[in-house]
Amino acid sequence: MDHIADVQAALSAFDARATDADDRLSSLEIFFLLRSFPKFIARFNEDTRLCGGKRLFEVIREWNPARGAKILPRLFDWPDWLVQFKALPPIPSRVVDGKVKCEFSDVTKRMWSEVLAAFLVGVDKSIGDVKLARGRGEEGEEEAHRAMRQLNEWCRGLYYFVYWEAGIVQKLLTKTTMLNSITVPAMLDKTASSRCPIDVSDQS
Amino acid sequence: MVCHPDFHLVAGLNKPLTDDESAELRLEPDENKGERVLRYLKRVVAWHAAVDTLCNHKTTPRLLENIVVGVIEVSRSLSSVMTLSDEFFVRFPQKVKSHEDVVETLADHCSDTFPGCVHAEATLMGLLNYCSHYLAHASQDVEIQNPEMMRQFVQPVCSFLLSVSSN
Repeated sequence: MDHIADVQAALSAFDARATDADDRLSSLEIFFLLRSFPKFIARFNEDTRLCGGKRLFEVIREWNPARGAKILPRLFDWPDWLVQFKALPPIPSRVVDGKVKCEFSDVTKRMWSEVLAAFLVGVDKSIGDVKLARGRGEEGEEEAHRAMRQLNEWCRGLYYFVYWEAGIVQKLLTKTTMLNSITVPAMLDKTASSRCPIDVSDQS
Repeated sequence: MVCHPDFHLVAGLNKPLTDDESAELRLEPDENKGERVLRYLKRVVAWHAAVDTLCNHKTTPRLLENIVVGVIEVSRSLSSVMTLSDEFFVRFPQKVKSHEDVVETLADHCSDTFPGCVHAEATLMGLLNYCSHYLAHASQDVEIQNPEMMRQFVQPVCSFLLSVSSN
């Protein structure tokens, strides 16, 4: 009940027309992240299950793409959120009629995969920074707050990238060979849900 | 026995899927690896997606001003209207003066075939979703035995949403 009241109060305090709407939005996002922090970390770390023991950003960075895949070259306007992100690898772009556009194609897919990996590494590192600062108790309080804001920035960037209408993340994941190297653990296979789990205590 | 160099990680991978996060990542029908990883990413940013949606929705401020949230606890084996009303008056003693009306209302809506669940938000979302779905596709296969009663039950909420969005 208290949580519902807090959520209602936090949402009510947000005003999209306020001059400091961006700051308020960040505060609201951090509020929800803080409330769900253990769940968020557990969810983020589930990539090791999906990727056969590796982190998703490791799988992406190890990718050695073959050329000649059927990706039609596409150009997109630079979205505002991407312009604001400074700590990213080079964004593939091309000048068309005097305007700089983002380019997704068979040639640039590797560069875009680096962008996705950078967001994931950013989230992962920021989680580590928050935990480290929290471990220092009161002394690390300010640092933890700063790291939390950083984490939120990476998360929001990842959110925009995943949901960007250009669909680059979706194309990388489903139209390229980027994930070919991962082996799906048997227990995540759709046919395995009724099998007995493996008792690893006997394997050491 | 030879120990895998990443033994701890391997051990972690082979843990039974008892937690809901892992269970959520099982392959869905007709889903491939890429689609599942995309689903994983969307789950990671779900909080930001929710905040973005809420804060960019023009009806949210009005809804927040008018919404009234109440919580009542009921036993898992809800057996009668009286059990429910007893709990109601413990939670909301000021409503005792409307005792008869409350009991009558609860009796009208209490159903042995649809006792609800402890996850109130999910129940409400399910009702709203069901109602809008039923209105749009009356012939769809749904598992609620009395759809007309459900529609009436949810109607005030729907009317409210419509009145807000029309302003």
